[in-house]
Amino acid sequence: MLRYTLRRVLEFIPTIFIAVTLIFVITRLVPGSPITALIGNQSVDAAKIDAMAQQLGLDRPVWEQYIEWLPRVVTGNFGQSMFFSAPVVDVILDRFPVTFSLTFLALIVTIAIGIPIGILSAMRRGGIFDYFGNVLSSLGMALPPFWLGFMLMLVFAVGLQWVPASGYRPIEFGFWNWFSRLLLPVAALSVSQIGLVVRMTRSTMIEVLGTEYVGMARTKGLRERTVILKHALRNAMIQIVTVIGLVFALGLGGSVIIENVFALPGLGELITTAAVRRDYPTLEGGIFYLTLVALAINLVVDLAYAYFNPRIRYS
Amino acid sequence: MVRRRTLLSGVVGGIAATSLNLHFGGLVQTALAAGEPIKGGTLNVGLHIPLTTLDWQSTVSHPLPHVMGHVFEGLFGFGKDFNAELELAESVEAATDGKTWTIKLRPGVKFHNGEMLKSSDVKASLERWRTVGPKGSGLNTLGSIDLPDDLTVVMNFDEPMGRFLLLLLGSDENKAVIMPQAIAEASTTPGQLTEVVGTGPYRFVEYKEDQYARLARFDDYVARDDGPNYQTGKKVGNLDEIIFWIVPEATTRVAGLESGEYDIITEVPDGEATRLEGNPDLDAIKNGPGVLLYMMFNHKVGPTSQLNIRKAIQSLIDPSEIAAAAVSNPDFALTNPSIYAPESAYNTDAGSELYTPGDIDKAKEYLAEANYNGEPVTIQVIATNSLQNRLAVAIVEQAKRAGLNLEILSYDLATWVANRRDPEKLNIYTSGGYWVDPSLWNAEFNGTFPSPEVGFISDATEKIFNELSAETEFEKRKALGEDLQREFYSQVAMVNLGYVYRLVAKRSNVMDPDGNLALGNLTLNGVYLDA
Repeated sequence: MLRYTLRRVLEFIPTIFIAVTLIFVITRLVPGSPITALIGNQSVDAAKIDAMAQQLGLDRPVWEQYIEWLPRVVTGNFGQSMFFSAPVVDVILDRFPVTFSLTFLALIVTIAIGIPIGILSAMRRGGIFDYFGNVLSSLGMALPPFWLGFMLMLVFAVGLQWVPASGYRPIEFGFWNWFSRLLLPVAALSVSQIGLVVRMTRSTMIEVLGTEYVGMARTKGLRERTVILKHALRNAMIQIVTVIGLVFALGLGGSVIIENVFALPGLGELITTAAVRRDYPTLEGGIFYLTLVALAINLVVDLAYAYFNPRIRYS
Repeated sequence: MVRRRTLLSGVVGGIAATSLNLHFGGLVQTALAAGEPIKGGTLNVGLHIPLTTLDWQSTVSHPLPHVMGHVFEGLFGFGKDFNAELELAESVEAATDGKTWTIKLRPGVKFHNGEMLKSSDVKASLERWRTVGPKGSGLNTLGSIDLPDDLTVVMNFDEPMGRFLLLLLGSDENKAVIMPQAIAEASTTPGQLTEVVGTGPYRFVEYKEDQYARLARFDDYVARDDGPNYQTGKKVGNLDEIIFWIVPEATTRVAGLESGEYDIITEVPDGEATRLEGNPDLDAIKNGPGVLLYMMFNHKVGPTSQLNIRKAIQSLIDPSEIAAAAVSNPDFALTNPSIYAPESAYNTDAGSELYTPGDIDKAKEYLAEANYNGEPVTIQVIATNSLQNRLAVAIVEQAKRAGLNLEILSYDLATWVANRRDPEKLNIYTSGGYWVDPSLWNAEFNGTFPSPEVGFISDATEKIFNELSAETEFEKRKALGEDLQREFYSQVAMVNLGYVYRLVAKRSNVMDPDGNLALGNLTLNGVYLDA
C-alpha cells in the first residue's frame, strides 16, 4: 500500500511538469501581454511599453524566460504576481480558503443529501419517492448554477433578507459572518452536484441490489438495513466515491461562476482574472496548485477503493 | 469597450468659465439634503471591477479614481463645470509668454502621515508623474521646476503652454496627484508606492486584493474655504469610513443595494433604472457627461486606410439605431453631431454638413469610388463586453444595406488591446469616452492612438493642436475646436456613433447635498448617511 502510494505520488511529477509547461507555452502563445492589460484602453508611447516589458522580463525570448522560470517552479516558487505586488504563493493561500470553504461545504451537503436520496430511490425503485428523486435530480442538473444563484439571492437576501446577498468574510470575523455568506453559494453549487450523486448512487445501488450476494444476504435472513448499509452500499461506494472525487475536483475548478455571482474572492475567480490580465505568474501558480489538489483527490479516491473493497490489492 | 475615459475640460484657470447645464431628462439627479449633514457611519460602495494598482500616478485604469480621488489631491481639480479649478494650489499665474507658470500652494495643508505640504513635495511628485504616468509625457516641454520657497512652485516650459492645468488633471484618469517627497522619490517602480499617503479628506487604510478597499476620515484635513465644487472647493468628509467592495457582477451589485448591503453602486445597467426608481428606498442617478461612442479605424494599413471606405462607413451609420442598440433605456442615449460632450461649452455642429448618417446611397457611391469588391472588413470586439457586441451587431446590419462585408472578431480584453495596436490585425474597433475640450483630442489626432502604426494624423490637425497648446482665449479655442471637428468629419478620423450616459444608484438615506454623484468619477465629498 505504501509502495503504491509512493508510486502514485511520483507519477504526479510528469503530470505536473506537463501541466505547467503547457500553461507556460499557451499563455505566451496567446496574443496580448500583461503590458496590454496594464495600459488598458489608452495610448501609451512605445518607449514606455518597452520599459515596462524590460521591467517585467518580457523582453527576452520565451525559451529564456522558460529556462529561468522552470527551476523556480520545481520549488513551488512562482515569483511575484504582476498585479498584486505580492508573492504568488501568498496570493493563492489568501484565496484558497474561500474556494475550499465553498467546495468543501458544498461537498458535505451533496453527500449528506445526495447519497441517502440515491439509496432510497434505489430501494423504492418505481415508487413515488423514486419518481420525485428522479425529477429533482434531473432538475438539479438542468438548472444553471448562476441562474439558481441569482434566484436564491433575490429570494433569501433581497426578499426575505435572511442572509447577505454577496461577499466573503474570513472566519476571523465570526462564524455566522463567515457561514451566512456561504449559505447561498453552497446551495447554488451543491444542487447540480446533488443531482449527479443521486443518479449515480441510485443506478449503482440498483445494480448492486440485483447481485447474487445481496440476494444471499437476504436469504440468510439479515435485516434489510444491514443488507443495504453493510453489503450493498459498501460495494456501491467504489463508484460513488469516484463520482464524489470528480464532483470535488470539478467544484474546485468550476466554482468560478458561483464566485463571480456572489462576489467571492476565490481561486477560480483569481485564475480567471489572472488570465484576463495576462498575469503569468499568478495564472501558472493557480493552475499548478489546482492541479496538485486534483491529483491529491485522485489519490485519496484510489486509496479509498481499498477501504471499501479489501479485495483490491495494490502492487 | 466603453472605458471610462474621463477626458474632461479644464481650460486655463477659469478662462473658459462657461458653466455646464446637465440636461438629464426626467431622472432624479441628486438627493439634495434638507437638513444638517450627519457625521459618522460607514458607507459601503459596490464597485464594478477590482483595482489593479494603488498608484494613481502610474495608471489610467478605472475604477481607481473612484477610490483614490478621496485620498489624493492635485494642484488643480475639476469643478462642476468641468473646468480646472484650484485644489492644493492657492493661486496660479502665467507669464505673458506662457512659458513660466508660478503656483502658490495653500498653507497649512497636511499629509495623512502628519507632514506639512511643501513645494518640494510638489516637485518630486510631478517629476515622478512625468516618469511613470501614462499622461505624464504631456509635460515633455517642461524644462525645470524652481522652488523659491516652501509654498511656491515655478514651472519653466520650453514652449508656451496654454493647456498646462489641463495636463496635470491627466484626463481625470491619471491625475498628477501630490504625495510626500520621500515617498515619491522612493517609489521608482510604476504601479508600486511605498506608502499611500495623500492630502485628501479620507486616508487610505487597506486594500484586500479583489475584495475591498477601505478608507477612513482624515480628521486633520484642511479644507478650502470656498464653496463645494465637485472634486475641489470645500471638501467635507462626513463619513467615518468608506469601504469599496469589489462586486463584478452587475446583478449582484443591484441585489446588494436592494438588500442594504451596499449604499452606492457604480456601473448599473441602464435597464435597471425604471425598477430602481420604483423602489422608494433607492435612487437612480444619471451620470454625465455623455460618453461619445465612436468607431476607430486602422488609418495606415488595409481597407480602412482608404478615405472613401471610411466615408462610406460614416455615411451608412445611423446613430439613432446604434443608440437604440447600445442602451435598454432610451433616456440614456443621445445623438449629437459634436465630438465634444453635449454638456461641454465646446459642443458645436461645425462640420456636421459632412456627416450624413444613414445615407446608404452615398455610402454605395463611396464604396464604388474605392473600387470595393466585397472583401471582408473586420470589427473587433471584447467577448465579454456586451455593449461592444451590441454595437457591432447593429453596425454589421447597417453595413449590409450598403453592401459592405463587415465581420465581427471576438477577443478577450488583452488580445483586443494587443490587436488594436497591430496594423496587420486591426480594421475597426469601437470604444467611448468624453471630451469637453478640444485639446483633449490630441492623442487621437496626433497619430499615436491607439498606436503609431495605426493612428490618425494630418497636417491640419497638427496645426490646430499647435495653436491650441498656446491659445488661452476661449472664443479662439472654440473656433479651433470647430476646425478640429470639421477635420474629424472630412477625414473620417473616427465615426460618431452617438452618446450614452451612465447610471449610478444609491439608497435613499445616502445624502449627496452637492449633487456630485451625477458627475463623472464617484465623488463622496459632503456625502453623509441620514438616520
